[in-house]
Amino acid sequence: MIYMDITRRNFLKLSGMSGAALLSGRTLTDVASNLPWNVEKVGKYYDDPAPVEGVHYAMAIDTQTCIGCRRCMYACIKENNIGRTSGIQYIRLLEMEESSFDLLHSNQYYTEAPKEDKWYLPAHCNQCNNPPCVQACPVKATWKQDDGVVIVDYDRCLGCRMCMINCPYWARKFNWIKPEVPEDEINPDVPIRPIGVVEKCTFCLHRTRKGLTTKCTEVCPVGARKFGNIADPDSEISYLLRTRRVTVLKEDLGTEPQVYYVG
Amino acid sequence: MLKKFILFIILAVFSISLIGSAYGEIQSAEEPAKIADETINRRSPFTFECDFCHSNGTAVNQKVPHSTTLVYHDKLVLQGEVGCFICHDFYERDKLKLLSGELVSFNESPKLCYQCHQKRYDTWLFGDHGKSITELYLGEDILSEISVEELEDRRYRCSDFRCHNPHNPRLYKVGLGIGYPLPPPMDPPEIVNFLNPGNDAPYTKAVVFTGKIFITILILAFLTSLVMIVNRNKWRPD
Repeated sequence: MIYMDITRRNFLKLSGMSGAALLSGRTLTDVASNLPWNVEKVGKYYDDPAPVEGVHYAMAIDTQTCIGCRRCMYACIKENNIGRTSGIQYIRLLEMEESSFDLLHSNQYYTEAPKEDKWYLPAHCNQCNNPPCVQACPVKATWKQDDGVVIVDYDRCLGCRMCMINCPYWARKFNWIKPEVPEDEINPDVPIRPIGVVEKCTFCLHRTRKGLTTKCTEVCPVGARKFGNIADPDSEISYLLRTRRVTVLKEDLGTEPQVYYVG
Repeated sequence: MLKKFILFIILAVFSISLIGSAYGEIQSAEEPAKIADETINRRSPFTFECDFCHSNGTAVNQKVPHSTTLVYHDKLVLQGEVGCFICHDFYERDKLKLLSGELVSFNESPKLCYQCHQKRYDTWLFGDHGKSITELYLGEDILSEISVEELEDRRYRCSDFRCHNPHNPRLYKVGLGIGYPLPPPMDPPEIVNFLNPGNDAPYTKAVVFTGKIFITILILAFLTSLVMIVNRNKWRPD
């Protein structure tokens, strides 16, 4: 007889997977490969720095200067070990009509930029202070940390995708297939997600908690992004938010986003 | 027959060489122009040597000074004339002139821009406008070694890094280079659908296969139940 150590987590995983297999269309082979006794237990240690005290991270994006070159999107994919064939991007750039804020009819698949009569809106996770995705999770696999970053526990995530339904910003993405990352491009600071979990932007916490900026801020050629600590009144981002006109996406939902759009 | 064949070959070689030479001419005529455009776009404005065309003092005050069309800043007007010499010095072409009459080098261009764009200058000094010191392309090792003064020297000025062309400072005129914008994003793979098994992914095939087996089992069960219902009298004991 095979001995099985059925803890609460494994039991939840099993029952959730058997239900989710029918709903989400995962095959029996995929479910079987994710069973706890089939998963390879790799003893790799990922540096997981704790949140710094007295810090609240926020980002400001200058929509006047963004030229829609998509450098941040591809740098983010490389930095966060996102599968190259998974069709997942934390950042998507929306080409907006001039003098309008119509998110629904924006174009994500433009091939020419920058155009004179368009403006570009980089959209990603807003790290809300009142996150609706956290309320949706049935197993508490996602929560907001003290420095304002909403994170996901990939071991605890069932893949039920309730958080994706609740997120009004389309920030959460689901791993439909196994992520394929070229071996020479793997970032050792970030774990590669298994199939069947939800992932999202983490404000590059493996970098920012060590004092660096996010990758998208670093690669932006025009300096449209500012990342910093808004708890500190002397920081660049506090000065920016004090002196410029600021808006957030879908303010009426009461999610209190921490990504500010400066116009 | 042989003569005809040889003639045909000679004709063919001749025509091919003609076409080739014409193609070569077209290419050689077009390529330098393209390269020149790219170099102009890529070159920092500081690399223009004004002395090359305008030797000191002998310059001309033309209405259209360059072959390229300059807009925005060259539309500044001073006493009815096009105001090139609001910012440029008439005698020293490699210097910029402040409104006070002081001459500054091209490397101190922010001083010149400050005269009109004071708010932008303040935010730039603070680090909000453009790339800030902490966002420069420096590794962690260099950041610890380098001094703050050196870092301030490395900060991008108004016309550095192809940010603003001084004659046409709107940002969308910035030449991004070849290959930009990067290709559009890829969408996630299609969700498996029994009615539309057009996806070649292995999991799709597996799901369709299991689905077919499931459906056949259902049909068999239905048929056997039908047979049992029809023949129900036979199963009864007499």
